[in-house]
Amino acid sequence: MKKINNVKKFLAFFILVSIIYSLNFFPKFVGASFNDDILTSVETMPIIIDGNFSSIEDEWTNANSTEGFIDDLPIEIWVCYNKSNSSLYIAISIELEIHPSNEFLGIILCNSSNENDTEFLDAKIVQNYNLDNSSLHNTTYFDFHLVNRTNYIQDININGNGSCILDEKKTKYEFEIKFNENNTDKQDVLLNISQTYAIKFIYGDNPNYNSSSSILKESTSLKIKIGWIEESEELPPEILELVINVLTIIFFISAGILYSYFGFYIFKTKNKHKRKR
Amino acid sequence: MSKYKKIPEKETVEKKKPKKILSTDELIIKSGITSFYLAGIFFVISILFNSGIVTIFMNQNLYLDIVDILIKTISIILFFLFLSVAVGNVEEINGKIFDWKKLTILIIISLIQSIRNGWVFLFSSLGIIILILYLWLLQESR
Repeated sequence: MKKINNVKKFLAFFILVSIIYSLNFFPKFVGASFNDDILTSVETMPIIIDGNFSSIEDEWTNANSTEGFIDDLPIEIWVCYNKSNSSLYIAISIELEIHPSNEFLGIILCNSSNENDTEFLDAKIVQNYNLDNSSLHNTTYFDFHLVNRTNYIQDININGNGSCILDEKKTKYEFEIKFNENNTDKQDVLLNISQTYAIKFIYGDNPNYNSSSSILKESTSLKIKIGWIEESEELPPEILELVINVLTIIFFISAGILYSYFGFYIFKTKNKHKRKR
Repeated sequence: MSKYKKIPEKETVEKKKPKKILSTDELIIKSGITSFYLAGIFFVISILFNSGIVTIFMNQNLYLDIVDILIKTISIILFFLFLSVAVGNVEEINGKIFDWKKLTILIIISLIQSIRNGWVFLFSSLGIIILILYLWLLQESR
């Protein structure tokens, strides 16, 4: 009896530990908001930074994309680069019923693929003014470096470019981030082809970035690889999707067959029992 | 004295059929079949959501994603629970024990339904483990 009680105590402890362990995933889950962990940017033609995703034909068509959330705000992201222009291009689309008048979107860059918060040092922000009034609407691009993770200090040399337009319910942001030009002041992240970098997105409605109440939402990190992914590393997404679909069909048919087998077994027992009576 | 002779009223109420008393074995089989049908209902729900036929809650926002995962996980756990009750009952009628072989098959056919979502797999595994431990402890305490 005592032995059974000890077993029960151990099992209760084991269940508790399992639950606590699984809850460890939860904070990551709450913020784990991108469909892909790594987004690989492919080389395309140079992008015109004006917020219009189709300024030239097929401007973003060949860019890799993913969907995700900044906190609870759904976004779509496209990434590509152009070697001759030494630029990484990122486009983000946010769909909302009503956008705040002074909405802004920022990209915070890490100087490596490390997700450690202390290494997110470079911020690029596109700030909208009068977004609700098309005739007065204008945008400003800011280039900051981060001190102590929360202090946004403007760079001496502004690198890159950014813009935004409101297209019906969507705000469309375009960013151009230069690889490693004019970085003598060490205020920008040095980007290199075939390297992976972690980035975060911030969103808010008030251009006072150093106030904690201004930044309403912050995403978890998304890794961006500059350059084409090696074929051996990962299956192309279409083939991966096809494999998952085929496996799903096979698994559900197998489960259905086994379920039917158990049904047959149950009814056979029922009939056998009837005959016995 | 009354003019008319009293005609005794006909017995209109038919004799109630005696309620069929089910034996314990019949009750066990009945419960097993009901559980089997309930498992079937949750299997259909699981097919709809876990195979990606119904995607109304997917990728909308965080809260709907949680609802989506909850529906998928609960349908798998309840499928496992009702099917194991059904099979367990039938095994009892046959005088056998619900062995590890059958339990493993049940676990596999439950968990393969979560192939498309890692979170559903994680929570379903956890739920099934807790269910097995609970049922096992229930047996132990008898």
